Amino acid sequence: MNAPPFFVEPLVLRPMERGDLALFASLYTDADTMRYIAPPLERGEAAASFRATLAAMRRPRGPRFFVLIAPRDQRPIGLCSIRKSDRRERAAELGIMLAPEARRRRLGHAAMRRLMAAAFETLSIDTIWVQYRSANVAAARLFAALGFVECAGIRPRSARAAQCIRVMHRSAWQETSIQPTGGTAMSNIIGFLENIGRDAALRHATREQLLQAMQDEQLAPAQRAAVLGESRTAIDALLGTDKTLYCSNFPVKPPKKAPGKQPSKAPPKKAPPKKSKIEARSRGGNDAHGFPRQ
Amino acid sequence: MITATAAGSRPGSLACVGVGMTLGSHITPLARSYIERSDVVFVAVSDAVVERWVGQMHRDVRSLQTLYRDGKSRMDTYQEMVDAMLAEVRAGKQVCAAFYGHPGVFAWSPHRAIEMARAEGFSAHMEPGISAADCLYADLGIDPGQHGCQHYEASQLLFYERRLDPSAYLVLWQVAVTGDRTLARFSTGAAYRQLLVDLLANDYPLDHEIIVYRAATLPILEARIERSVLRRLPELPIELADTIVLPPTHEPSVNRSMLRRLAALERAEA
Repeated sequence: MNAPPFFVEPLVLRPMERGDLALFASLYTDADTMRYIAPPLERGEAAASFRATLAAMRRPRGPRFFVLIAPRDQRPIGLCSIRKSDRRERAAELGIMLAPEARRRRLGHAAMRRLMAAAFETLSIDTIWVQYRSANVAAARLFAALGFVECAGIRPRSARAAQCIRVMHRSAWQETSIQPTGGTAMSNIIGFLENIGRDAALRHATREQLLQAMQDEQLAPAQRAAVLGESRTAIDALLGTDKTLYCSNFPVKPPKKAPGKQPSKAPPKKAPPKKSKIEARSRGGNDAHGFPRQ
Repeated sequence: MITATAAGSRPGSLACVGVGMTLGSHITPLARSYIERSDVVFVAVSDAVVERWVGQMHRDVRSLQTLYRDGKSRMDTYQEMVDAMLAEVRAGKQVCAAFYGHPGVFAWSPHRAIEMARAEGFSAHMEPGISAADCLYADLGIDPGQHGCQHYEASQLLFYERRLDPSAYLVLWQVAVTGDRTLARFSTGAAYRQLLVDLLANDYPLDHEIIVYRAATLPILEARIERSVLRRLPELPIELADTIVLPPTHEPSVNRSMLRRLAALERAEA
C-alpha cells in the first residue's frame, strides 16, 4: 500500500505493515476486544488473517488498514480500516479496534475523525458507514457523537445481518468539518461537551483532567481556554451562542374576571381554615424539634 | 420506519421527546433515535449551545425560539408552536419535537400538540426526559417521598386560592414572571415577588430559608444553588430558569383519628 501516513500531532495514523503482526494478533485474539465483533482468533488464525489482510491491501480496491499510534509514548494501540463498498454504492465502511489500555481516552473519537477525513478526501465516495452490534453501546455513542445517523434506507450490500448501521453523507461531513469558523470549532467543542456530559470520568472532572482530555482530543488552545473558563461567556463567544433563549413553555391563565369587580353568581367555595398558620409560624425554623434542615 | 405507541389512522406522526437538562448527560437513546430518524425535528431548549447540539443530530432541525417576541403573548407563541408541529404532521411527515428537560413538565405545547394530532387521527405520543425537578432532587439532596413535596407555578399562588402545607417541601417555578397577567413579559420584578413573599408569609416565617436553584445546562457548569431567606426574595437576581425551594418548617402533625382507626383494623385482623 502506497498511501501516505496521515499525520496529525500528536495522533498518528499510518498504514499497517508487515511489522504490525504483534499488534494485529493481540487485538484479534483478545476476547474482550472481540466480544462485539466475532469469536476471538487463535494465534495461528490471527497470523494467517494478518497475511491475508496485507495481501488484500495491495489490491486496487482492497481494504486499507491503519495503525493508531499513541500520542504520548508512540506505541501502537489500535487499528482502523477503510473498506470501499461495491462499486455501484460509492460508499466505504470504516472500522476501528482499540487495545484495552487505549479505551476511554477519546482516542477513538480523534482517530475516527482522521479516518473520516482520509476516506472523503482520497476516495470517490458519497457516503461512509459503520456497523456494530446493538449491544455495543460505546460504539453507538462514538458514531452518534461523530455525526453518523442511523441508516433508515437501503442497507449497504456488505452489511452483516442484524448489525446496526449508521451512515454519514459527504455533505454532512463537509458541514461540520470544512467551514473555517463555526464549523470545525463548533463541531469539535460541542462534540467535546457531549463527551464530557456522558462520561462518568469527566462529568465532574478536575480542571487538570479536563485539560488532559482536551489535549487528547486535540482541541485548539482557544477552545481549551473556553472550556476551562470560569464562566460560559468564552464558549458563547467562540460559538456565537450569546443570544438569550426563552425557556418558558408554560402559561398560567389569570382569572378572566378581575377580582372584586363583581361577585360571581355561584359563591366561591369557602377557603378551608388554615389551622396551622400560627402553629407553623411559631415552629418555623425551630431546630429544637430536631427537624432536619437543608 | 418509526413506530409509535399509539397507531394513527393517517400518515404523519408526532413524537415529543425530552433532551434532559444537561448537554450529553441526560438524553435517552430513544429520544436521540427519534431526533435522528424523523423527517422533521423541532427544537425548544433553554440554552443556545444545547440548541446547536440538537441541530447537529439531523439535517432539518427547526428552532421554535423564533416564535417568541418581547411584548407578544406567550400563549400566542405556544399556540404557534403547536401549529408549526401539526402543519408538518398533516403533511404526512414523521415529526419529532425535542424540548429541554421533560417535554410534558411545565410545557404546554407538547401536550396540546399531541392532543390535537390524536384528535385528527394521527399517531402522537410523548417520551419522558430528565426534568429540572429531577436535577433539583439530586443536586439539593431532596427526596420528595420523605416529607412530601409541592410544586406550583408561582403566579398560580397569586391568582388562585391554594392550600400550602409547610410541613412538606415547596418548589416554586417561573418565579421570574410571578404575577404576570399579560403573558407578554419575561420578567416582572421585585414588587411582584414582594406580593409572593407576602402570601408565603401566611405560612412561613420571613427568616425561613429559601434556595435559589438552576440546573446545569452544560456539563462544564455547576448548578446554581444559593441559600437566602424568604424576606430577601424580592431583591435576589432571579431569572426565568431559576426555581425557588422552601424547605419544610416543621414536622407534620400526627393524625390521631386515623391512627386510632388503623389500630382498630389491626386488632380486627389479629
